[in-house]
Order: sequence, then structure tokens, then C-alpha cells
Amino acid sequence: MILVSGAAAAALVAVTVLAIGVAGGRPDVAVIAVPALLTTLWAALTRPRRGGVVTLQPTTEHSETGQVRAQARLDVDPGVEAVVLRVASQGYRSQHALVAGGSDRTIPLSLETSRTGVHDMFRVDWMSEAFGAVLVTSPRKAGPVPIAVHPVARPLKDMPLPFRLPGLTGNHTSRRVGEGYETHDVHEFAPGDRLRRIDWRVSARRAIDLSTGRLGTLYARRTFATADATVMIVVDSRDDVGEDVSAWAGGVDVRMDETTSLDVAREAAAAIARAYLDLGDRVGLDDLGRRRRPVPPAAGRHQWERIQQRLVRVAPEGWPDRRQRPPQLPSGALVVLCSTFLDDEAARIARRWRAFGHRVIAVDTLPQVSTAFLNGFQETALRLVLLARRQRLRALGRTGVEIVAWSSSTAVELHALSRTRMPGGRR
Amino acid sequence: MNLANLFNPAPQRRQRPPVSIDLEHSVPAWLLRGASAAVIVLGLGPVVGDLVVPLLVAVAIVIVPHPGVVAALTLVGAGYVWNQPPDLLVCAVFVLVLHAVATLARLTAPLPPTGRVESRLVLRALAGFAVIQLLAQAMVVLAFAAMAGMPTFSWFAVLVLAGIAAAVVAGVRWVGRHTQ
Repeated sequence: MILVSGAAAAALVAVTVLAIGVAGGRPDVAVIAVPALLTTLWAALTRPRRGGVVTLQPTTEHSETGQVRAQARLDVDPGVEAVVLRVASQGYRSQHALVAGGSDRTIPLSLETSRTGVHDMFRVDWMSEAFGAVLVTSPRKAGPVPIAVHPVARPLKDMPLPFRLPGLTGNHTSRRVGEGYETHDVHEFAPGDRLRRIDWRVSARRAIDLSTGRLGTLYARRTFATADATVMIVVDSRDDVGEDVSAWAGGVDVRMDETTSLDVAREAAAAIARAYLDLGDRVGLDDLGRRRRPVPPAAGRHQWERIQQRLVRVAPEGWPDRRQRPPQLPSGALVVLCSTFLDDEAARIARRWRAFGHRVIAVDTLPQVSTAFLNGFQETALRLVLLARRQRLRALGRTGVEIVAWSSSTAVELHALSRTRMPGGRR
Repeated sequence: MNLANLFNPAPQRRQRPPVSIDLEHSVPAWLLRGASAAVIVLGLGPVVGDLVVPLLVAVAIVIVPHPGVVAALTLVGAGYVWNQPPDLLVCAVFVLVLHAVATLARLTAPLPPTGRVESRLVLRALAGFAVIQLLAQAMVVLAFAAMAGMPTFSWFAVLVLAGIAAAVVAGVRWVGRHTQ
């Protein structure tokens, strides 16, 4: 432990005052030093052998956008009177506190964030005090700990479906004849038809020979087959731009209480994936910015967890090469592409998918931008970039790609898309 | 150059959000600094009969609540008491105020004004303060009771000074052993 200079000076002054008071025959002066000397004596009797250890751990493994929590665990010796904590996190103001020592305990820490993804949070600098704050340990640090902040999956109801439903079972009515609920037609009984499908009323009305009274041809009721949809969600992780345009080129920290395009993309992907999985459809996930195996389409709760885990780790990584071919997708899949469309790459790939016959929905994830800190040249440059982006999206719309901006009204837009009929896939 | 920009205030970035240390009960450090200043002004003002010096000291302790400042305050207080005829009230008030300021400075010295001190720690410090203050005030009373019959032998002062010197040497040796 280290001696604090100020406390040493105070103790020295106390001893000097006591000495002067005694030497000068002035007990009224000498007693002024008594409290300091008694405090020192008291603290000396309870001084610790060592300082202690502070460890940092997240409280829950599943943190969502909003409040993120962690715990600082103090393992201190009985003689440690207090622990000075300074908790910091990138993009946040640090906070200081002096907490009581003496026993092992846990201090809860929290912060508010609008961001998602994996972030290093909660760095704790600490030192313990003892001996009436005369002795302190050297400053030490704990953390930061990587915390995965998951997006909140906003509930969506009516979702658009792919042009074809290739599945054999599911909740959606396909155009094929098969097992289902909606009537397709009444047809002459043929090999392969199930007996319980025979429509006896129709058969009696149309097939009884009135002269002989015998039953002729049987009629069976056929239904549309039900099927599940295959949905591939593709997140463009190459861009991660925030609301403050002056931070796009780096040099300025992206605020933690403002969402970036990748946060919007994560939120959109999570909400859409959750909505389709709740409908019993098969959902997969791919990343346009990384060449790694996609999460293959599947249904169920475990698939939701897989998608969540992959989604929270989607992050920009260097500057990826231009793709010669778009990522391969299951036949007949609906593609949901979440991107800012600030360059041609995502739009080019979306056009290729559309040309292959997939239904493609482009989710625009660029947040509402703020130009408050731009100078005139930068504003002009931004205007040109946004103009080029608008032209790109218009051209994309003309090729048959449906475009949705992720906002509070997205649910309505997706509902409208679910009602849109594009038979056969308009090219 | 657009001259209109000279008259338009530049946009300010919003303050970054804070990290939170969720203590059950805590006191802001600025409040303890204010309490320190209040104790100095309200305690020493009437006794000294002047408000300027206590106010200056209070401002110093609010800005820098460092044990070094408390040490300087102790020296100033001892000098004032030395120059005055012995007075029980003055001595008792000085002992009370200096001890209170030293206790509060111990809690606020390592923190900025926005920091927080856990209430449990404040209560613990106040308990220690109360016990030590009782002992100190008892010694004040004893000192004044003994003033009339104070031994005037020179060897008495020599003995006491020797004892203090021995204590200082022991203290310095202990500090040498326990300091990096």
C-alpha cells in the first residue's frame, strides 16, 4: 500500500502542534492535534494485510437494447475501509464512487444504450483505502467485459410471402393441390385420392343413374396444399454509419445513445426473422460483408437462438472484396436484404437475385441523418451521396425489388406488401 | 467568408450519457463538500468573530478537499489558539470543527464533485467521528482542568518531547516498512 502525501502532511502537522503545545505549556493548543492522532491510532489497529481484488462480470447473458447491467465484485480484506471506484465505458461519462469495504460484496453497474452488437463495456479503475485513508493501494483495473447487446424484436403480423411455396407442410396455402383446408375443386375420383376426400353429396347429385338407381363415377373434393415459406435474411455489414454524418469518416466517436445503420439492420433482421419463425416458416441468415457459411434456413426456437447469436456478432470487418456472384440461396426463397444502399454492391446483388426469380425485399436501414456539424463542402458532398442513393433505390424499384424503409410504419408497409399479388414473379 | 457565421453560435454536441453505479443509498460528494464548508463557516465564524477567514478557508476546502488543506487549516487554527488567552469554548469548537472537516475531507478527497459516497460509509465515518470526538472533548476538558495545576518543571516538557520524538521515529519506521 502507498502512503498518501496529504495524509502524511496532516499527521506531521498534528504531531508538530502537539509538540509545540506541550513544549509551550499550552494544553489548549496541544489538544487540537488529539483527534488526528486518535484517528491514526484507531486505523493502525485495524489495518489490512492486503488490498483486495475487484472482478467484473455481466449480470445476465442476454442483454437487450435499453439498459445493460454488470456487477463489480469486491473481495477485500477486513481492514480495508473503503474502495474508490471509477467506472468508465467508451462513449459514456465516467462515474466515481466511494463504497464501504470491510466485507465481500457486489456493486451493480448499469448504462443506457441504443446500440446493439458486441461492445466492450464497464472498465473499472479502483483502489482500496485503509488506515484512515492514509494508505491506499496502487490503482488497478478490472474489465472491460465484452457484452452482447441483442436487438429487441418488434412484433410484426402480416408478412409477405415468396412467389412459390416449395415446402410440403406449413401454415400458408400454396397453389399446389394437396393436403390443406381451402377448396381447390371437385374432381372425378382418381387413383391416389383418399377415400375420405370423396364428396358424397356431389357424387349423389351428379353420378346416380336415375333409370337404374346405381351410382356411377365418384367425385372427390381437392384442396390447396399448405406449405411453409423459405426466407433468407441478408444483412449488409459493410456499412455502420450513425445519425451524425460528421462521424461517418471516423475521428468522431459514434454516440452510444444513437442508433447506427447496423443497429437498424440488426433490429429489422431480428423482427422479420421472429415474425416468420412464429408463422412456422424456415428462416436463414447471411452476411453480405463476410465470406462465411450462412445460417441455413430452418424453423423453430433453436433457429431463433442461432439467428440471434449470429446477428449480434455481425460487424464491419475491413473492406471486403467485390463479390463476383451473389450468395447462393435456396430455390424459391424470399430474400430480405437489409442495407444502407450507399454503394452499388448491395443493389447489384439484389438485382441479380431478382433476376434469378426470387422475391426480393430491400430494407433501407439508413437512419435519419443529422447535418448539424457539417461545413458547406461536406453538406454538398452529403447531398450528392444521398442523391445517388435515391437514384439507386429508384432503379432497384424498377427492376421489381420491393423497397421498405425501416421505421415505425414498417409494419404497415410489410402488411401492404403481403397483400400485393405478383403472380409468377414480375421481372 | 460568411460573416453571418460570426453571430450564429456553433452547434454544441450533447453531453455523453453517464455510466451508473447503482448504490442503494448514497450521498453526492458535492453535498459533503458543502457540509464541510458549512461546518467551517458556522462553527468558526462566531468563535473567531470574523467571517472573511472562515469563508476563504471554506472556499478552499470546497474546491480542494485534500488532507493537505486540512493540515494547513490545523496549523492556522493552532496559531490562532496560541495567540489567544486559553478559552475552553474556543478550544472545544476548534477541535470539533477541525476533526469534522478532516473526516469529511477523507470521504471526498478521492472523488470529483459529481462522485457519490455510499451512505453506509458516511455513517461508519460519523460513528468513528463521534467516538473520537468524545475522547478528544474529554481531553480538552481535562487539559483545561489541569491548567491551574500544570507542572512547570522544565523536565516535564523534556520528557513529553522525548516521548513524542520516540513516537515519531516509530511512526516513520513503520511508514518506511509499509510504503513502496
